[in-house]
Amino acid sequence: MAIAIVRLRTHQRMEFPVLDIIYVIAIVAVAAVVLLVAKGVEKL
Amino acid sequence: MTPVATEWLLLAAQLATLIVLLGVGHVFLGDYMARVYTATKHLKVERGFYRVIGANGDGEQSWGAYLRSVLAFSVVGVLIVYLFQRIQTWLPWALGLPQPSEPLSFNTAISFVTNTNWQSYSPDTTLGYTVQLVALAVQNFVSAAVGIAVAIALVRGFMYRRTGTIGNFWVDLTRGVLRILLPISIVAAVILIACGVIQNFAGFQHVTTITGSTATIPGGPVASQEAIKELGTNGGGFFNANSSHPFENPSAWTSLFEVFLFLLIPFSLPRTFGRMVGDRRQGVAIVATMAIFWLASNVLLAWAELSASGIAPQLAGGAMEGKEDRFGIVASTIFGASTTLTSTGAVNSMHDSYTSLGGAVTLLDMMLGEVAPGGAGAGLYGILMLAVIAVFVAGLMVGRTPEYLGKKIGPREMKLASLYILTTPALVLLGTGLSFAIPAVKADLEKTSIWNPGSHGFSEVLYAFTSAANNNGSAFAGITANTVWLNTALGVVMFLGRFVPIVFVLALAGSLAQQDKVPVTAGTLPTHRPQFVGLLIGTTLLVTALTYFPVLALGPLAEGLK
Repeated sequence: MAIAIVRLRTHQRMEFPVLDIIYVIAIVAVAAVVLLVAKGVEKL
Repeated sequence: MTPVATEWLLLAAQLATLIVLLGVGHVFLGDYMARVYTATKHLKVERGFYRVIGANGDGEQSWGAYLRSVLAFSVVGVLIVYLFQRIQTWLPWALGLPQPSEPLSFNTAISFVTNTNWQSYSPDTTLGYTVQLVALAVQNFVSAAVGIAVAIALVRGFMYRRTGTIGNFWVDLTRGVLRILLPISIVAAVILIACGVIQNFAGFQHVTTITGSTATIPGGPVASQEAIKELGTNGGGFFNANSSHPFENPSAWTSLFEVFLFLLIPFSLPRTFGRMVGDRRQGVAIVATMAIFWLASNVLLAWAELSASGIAPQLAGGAMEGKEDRFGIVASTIFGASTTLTSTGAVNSMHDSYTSLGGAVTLLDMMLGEVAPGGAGAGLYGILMLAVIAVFVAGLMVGRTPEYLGKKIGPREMKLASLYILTTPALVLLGTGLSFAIPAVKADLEKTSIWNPGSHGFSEVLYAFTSAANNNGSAFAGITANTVWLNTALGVVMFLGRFVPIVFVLALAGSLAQQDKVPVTAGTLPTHRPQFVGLLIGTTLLVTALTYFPVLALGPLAEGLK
């Protein structure tokens, strides 16, 4: 991981990772759906 | 003796070998796992781990806290695997491979964390050694341990009286990895290496063949990953051809050993269950139910492939398309039936090439809900949920309050069990339906993904969503799944297919743990007798058949009747 960070810092042409951000949000969103289901189950 | 008769004899011999090995193995491992999950002492290394993560190894958790721990651990796992793939170019041992795309990284990260191991990519030409070892192989261990932990939490629900707690996730996770999965995997990896599975860091070797052309031979640390891939019912191959690749699975012997590995924990956990609830007969009833489904599926699949019509299959003694010569038909069907029944998803033959009825059997295996014997942990908690429904149905028939292992099955318990069995079919049918209902998606599927139009193409998409929702991971390999829609939709379905049912399982565990035990009376339904095994089989079949029959009619059954 340290090697990757060093190499990443020296990499000159980085594009803004729009799709990465969208997919990270999607991961958090599906986890939030599961938590919402759990909240609903508590009321059963 | 005719070739077909020889194949049937081979089937009987291989199944008998597996039954003997599992018959002995499940006793030792089942009893050992019961001791592991009921032990009060922690190992030194375990105490160190609890200190590092700030967990209290001696504290018990409510079902809500247990669930939040499962979810937090898994979401962090998804993010780490996603990150590792996206920075692959800059990692050591990347083999010069670029980073996978965002949708593919999303799909793969969820796939390995949910114990599905669906692969929309060709592993040997997509992922370097660091991602395979540090990201994926780690998840092979911990995702299996998470499944086992959830199953044990449900068993504690039956064990405990008026506690409201169901154990400690961090303890269950750590013990599962360190005391069960790691030691067996090391032994299994050594056996696999001895039998010819490769284990090196050689990268790609370019060689000149005897005809003067060149060939590229991939290397890699395969045996270490193969062992946990099978033992943890993960199934994600190091190579694209999975266990039909000779470096992963060189011979019929290794093939049988790999089947044994992925059946071992699922068939041992009912024994653990019986031990923990203090009545081994309960575990025998569960394992008998699983074994009957498993044997029936093996016979059905072998029959479908051996009785294939047409000149080529009859001359070959059966349907050999998509199967390896070194395994033959029955070693392929045993692997195929067992992998789809265990949520493993590894393959030593191409399920897409099976006869229409053979394909239907593999689909039905998954549609049973991965309970016979199911995935590591997922199989046990799945069949216990069905047992709760079976007990309720029996209670309705005799007019008494349903009880299971001294715990009353009331309205709350039934709602949770019902929601559990509805979740996976809803995800399968919605995912498949939306794929054909949204015009742009349908056009993309037909243009890019489906190589076999008509009923078989429909079956390929249905198989993909069935495999994802049930966390199996195998595929009808004729489909091209590396598209934005399939990567994203299957990723979401895998995540929800894993964790929404876990919500209901843990909630049920918490609900049962709050109850006191009711004494056994003359009106209590015995749940250790053959009568209950039959009831559980009937309930499982009815629930599965009623839910999926219409969609099976559109796919493999329509193809078979053409």
